[in-house]
Amino acid sequence: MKLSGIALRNVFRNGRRSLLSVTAVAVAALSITLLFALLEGIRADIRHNAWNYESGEVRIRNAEFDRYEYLNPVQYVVPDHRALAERLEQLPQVAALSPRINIPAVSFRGERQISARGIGLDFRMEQEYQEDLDLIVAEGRLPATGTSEAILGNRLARELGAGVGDTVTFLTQTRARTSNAFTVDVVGLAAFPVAALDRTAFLLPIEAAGHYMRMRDAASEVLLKSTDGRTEVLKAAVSALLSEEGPEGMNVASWTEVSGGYSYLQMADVVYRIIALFFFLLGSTVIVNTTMMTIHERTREIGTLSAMGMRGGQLVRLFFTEATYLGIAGSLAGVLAGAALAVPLQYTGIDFGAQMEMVDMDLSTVLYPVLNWRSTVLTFFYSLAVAMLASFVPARRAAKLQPVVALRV
Amino acid sequence: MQYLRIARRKAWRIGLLVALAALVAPSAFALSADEIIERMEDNQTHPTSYIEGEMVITDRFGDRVSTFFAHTEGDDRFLVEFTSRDEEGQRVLRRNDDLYLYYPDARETIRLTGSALRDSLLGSDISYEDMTGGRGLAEDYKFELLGEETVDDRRCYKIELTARGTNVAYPKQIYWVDSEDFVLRKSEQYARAGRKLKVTEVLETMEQDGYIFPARIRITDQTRRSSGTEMILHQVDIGVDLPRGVFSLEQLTW
Repeated sequence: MKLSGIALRNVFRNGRRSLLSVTAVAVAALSITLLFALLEGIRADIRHNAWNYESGEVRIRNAEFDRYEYLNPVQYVVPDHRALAERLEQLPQVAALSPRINIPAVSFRGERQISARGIGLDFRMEQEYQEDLDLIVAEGRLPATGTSEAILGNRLARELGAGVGDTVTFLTQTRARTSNAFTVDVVGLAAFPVAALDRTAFLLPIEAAGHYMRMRDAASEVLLKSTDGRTEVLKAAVSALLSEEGPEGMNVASWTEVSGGYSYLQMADVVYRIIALFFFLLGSTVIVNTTMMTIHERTREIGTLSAMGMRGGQLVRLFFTEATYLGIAGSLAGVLAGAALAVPLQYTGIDFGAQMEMVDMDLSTVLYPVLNWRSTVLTFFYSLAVAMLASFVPARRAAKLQPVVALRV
Repeated sequence: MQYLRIARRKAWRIGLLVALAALVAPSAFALSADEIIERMEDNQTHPTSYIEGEMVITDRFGDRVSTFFAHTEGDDRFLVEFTSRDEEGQRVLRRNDDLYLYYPDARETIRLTGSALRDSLLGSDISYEDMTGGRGLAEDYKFELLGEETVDDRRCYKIELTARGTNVAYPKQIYWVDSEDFVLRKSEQYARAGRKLKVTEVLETMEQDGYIFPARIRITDQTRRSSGTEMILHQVDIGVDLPRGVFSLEQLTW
């Protein structure tokens, strides 16, 4: 009889113990599959939010603004953003762009000051830049171009006690480093995916923002997205255009350089991989335990097999093959169960709601896990490899048993 | 001999009287801290006035100029309107202890209360709170004459102002009041813990209709780096007829 046949028969000799091993590997594989799907979802979410609300895929800003960012020096601008946008649109690497005017604002409610952040957008260009822009409208509509209309984040509106049809007055600091106040008509309420935006942001037409901030055709920043996801190629093309044709003194940065979310992601990636390793180790202890128990129970049998001429290497292969069968069953079951759980969550999402509300990070309150087939297949092989490796040490111990000693047990 | 003794006694008594008079005289003719502050306030309070001037605001990013005109009445009513391009039409109205801001782009006036009063006027070193004081310092402060010092070659009374309560911007101030014309030449404002918050220096004065008042003032917020504001008055007319309802809220938004 072949070794593989003996190993398969042995797996079923103690069904309950084999089931325990399979379950341990399966639970580890399931957890890792879900964890990686969640990590992939977080990665996609952070990128989506950073590209749409924070840094773009590539961002153009005045270098002096970046230098003194902690002082919010709104006077350092990207001049003549319309002319610049026309030139940028000619670049084949640019899929969409969005000039923006950021407004540091405060609104008074009695003795309370409520901080807010206005974002002046060209809604025509923005529809192209953020294809799902309409999805943020929870009530009412988006502001119309050429008006003093605004759409407020849901929580900001609640703080201000304002709803659709009301007016809100904000005080701000202008490009001339002096103050100005302006009143907007609330035409909509937005459900921003990011809690921090929901708490502070309001969107208004870029022309109105430019007037209130005395920007004189300048923008605070221009965000860009690439046609093919090659961020560095886009950045190089934009940098080349600016150095050839100006304006001077601009800073071109990719989202991987400036996004706080990306830094978090880098850190989280390492942390989650350590967690994954921990899960695998936990699962492997059960395999080690099961194999050791098997060897202990079959010591006499091992002695008989050795006495009949089976060599140490063959014994190792026998136990190794048994562990491989258990590993395949456990890994496959775990990965499939993980996928079965992750796929529906891709559509329903996991609402972290209240927990995320006070988190000052560009992470959505509802996270949608994304099942990455590549990492799922890798999880299967990792689980299998760990299960096989876990059986190697006790199998070698069994192979070293002297037949005479084993038969006396 | 008897006559000589009487003469000596008389001379001694006269000497004693002269010595006493010499000791008493300075305190009889010197002004108290309260009187100095009162004369300073009399000098800087006008029935009505029309003022034109500018503020030169300096910070780490450079200088900028805001021009303005103002109408005042007594020491607790004024309306300042800015005329420079970036602030054109913006107004600050003070009526008694209330401060209102009007901006042409806003459809409502902003009444400043609470912590908002500590905000800066157009990013300058002057806070809105600084604009609300001045109505009878004696109501809010106790005065103590610390002595005399020279400020820019002018002999000044140095007076410490200690707040009577907590409803004032500065718990402690030190004033240097000119001993000749009773113009406030310099002042320092302190926090409760003793930290110096602001320094105000009078760089030039002007005389108009018998009043002498600061024409160029430098205010330095000690809590801000590379910061300073110069207030320069170009024109001051005292005792003018004020436009009707100039301090009304209706007029503010008109």
